[in-house]
Amino acid sequence: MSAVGKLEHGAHRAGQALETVVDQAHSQELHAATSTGLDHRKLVMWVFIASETIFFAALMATYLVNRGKVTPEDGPEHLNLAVASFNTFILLFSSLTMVMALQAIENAKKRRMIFLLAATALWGLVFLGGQVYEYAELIANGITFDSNVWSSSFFALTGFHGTHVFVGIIWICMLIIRALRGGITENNHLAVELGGLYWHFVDLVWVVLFTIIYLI
Amino acid sequence: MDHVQATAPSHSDPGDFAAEEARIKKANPNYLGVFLVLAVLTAIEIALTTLFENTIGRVPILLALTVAKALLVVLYYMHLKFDNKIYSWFFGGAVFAFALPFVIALVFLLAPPELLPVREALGGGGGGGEAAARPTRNPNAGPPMALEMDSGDYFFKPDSFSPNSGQVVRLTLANSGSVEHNFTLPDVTKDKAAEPWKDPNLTTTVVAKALPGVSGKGTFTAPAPGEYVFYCSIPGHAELGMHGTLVVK
Repeated sequence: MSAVGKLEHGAHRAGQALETVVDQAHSQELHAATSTGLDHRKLVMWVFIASETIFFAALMATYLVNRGKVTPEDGPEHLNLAVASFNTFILLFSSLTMVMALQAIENAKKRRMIFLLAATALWGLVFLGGQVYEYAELIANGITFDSNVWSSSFFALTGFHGTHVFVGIIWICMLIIRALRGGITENNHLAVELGGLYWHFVDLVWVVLFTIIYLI
Repeated sequence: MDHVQATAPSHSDPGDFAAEEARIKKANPNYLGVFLVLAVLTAIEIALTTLFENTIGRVPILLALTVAKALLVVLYYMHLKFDNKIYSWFFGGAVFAFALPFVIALVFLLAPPELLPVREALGGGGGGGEAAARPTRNPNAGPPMALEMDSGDYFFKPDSFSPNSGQVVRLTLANSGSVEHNFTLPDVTKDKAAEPWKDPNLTTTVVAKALPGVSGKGTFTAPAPGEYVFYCSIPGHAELGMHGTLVVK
């Protein structure tokens, strides 16, 4: 083979290799190679969750320090364990429907996923309803945000958690809209996984909140 | 993430995002089972709290159950058990470097004085060292006292009442006047502060506030026996006669 022939052959091979790379890139869509070997969208979600952990730990610490500073009559006594327990089961169940939604889309069952996502958002709304009920009960007993250090810490902690649930509901609704528009498929559903991570984290925070506020 | 099944065999290099997802999918955790365990653990927690209220021994058990529930959520629902360990490092770092130190410090702060004499020795560590303002524990304090008090321009009615030391007073402050009023209590007795509104250095508590025509509610625990002067802290009101006497028995 002449030198030119070798060169042509080499160029042809290179072209083929490039095509293969492009094909693979297409199949992986946005997945550029990363130094960690991880999808950075998921990595940044975990970094965000780590920062949220610290955020809630600070609020919980504040609550725990302040809860001993008032007599039970000034607030803790008026907490409603029944409503909080109900809410706990609701949120735990919503985590189940969320993770099953991810499982559904992994198995190419898109309609099932949409149904389960909607159920998750609905449980989130029920949870918020329970929280509104509890707040109304406390306010009726004269306990508001500025009543004492306990009430301030309580409303700050549970209020921020409730806000997270609310954001989670909006997030899930956006996932549903995206899925209906065809933006989420069996082979492209990272968004569902990330939304799920957030939702489970919010559930996780409640698991801890429930214990420190209502149980111990 | 995408395209797992068809090309899976050739995808084993660490740069392949699909590999970890394939792992999760292959593991196929029993999510319903995880939920049922979580529900049972929660039911046990609630039962413990309802049956053994005020038993200090239940606290470590409740904390252990909570840790177990949190681990189930993180490992299975959030897939850390099957995922790349880097995610676990980020999350674990946040928990162990920041969140847990808070908890450890607070278990110390929360321990009741009889279990942790050092706390009292440190001047009520957990409560912030405000010994004077702390409610006294009096076994003869009696049940909470419901007190309805009217306020107006510029009086309290009644302008004197006497709970037992340690008794909880649930105050409903009505306001038949034309401006806002409140019920303020200093933490020192009358012989130390006969006109507490004149001393800006006193520690005082605004127990209840009431806008015109509206009632405000508040609760306080009657302090150590003695006479105290309560008043409205809105500037000028006390001088116009808006004060009264709390006689703690």
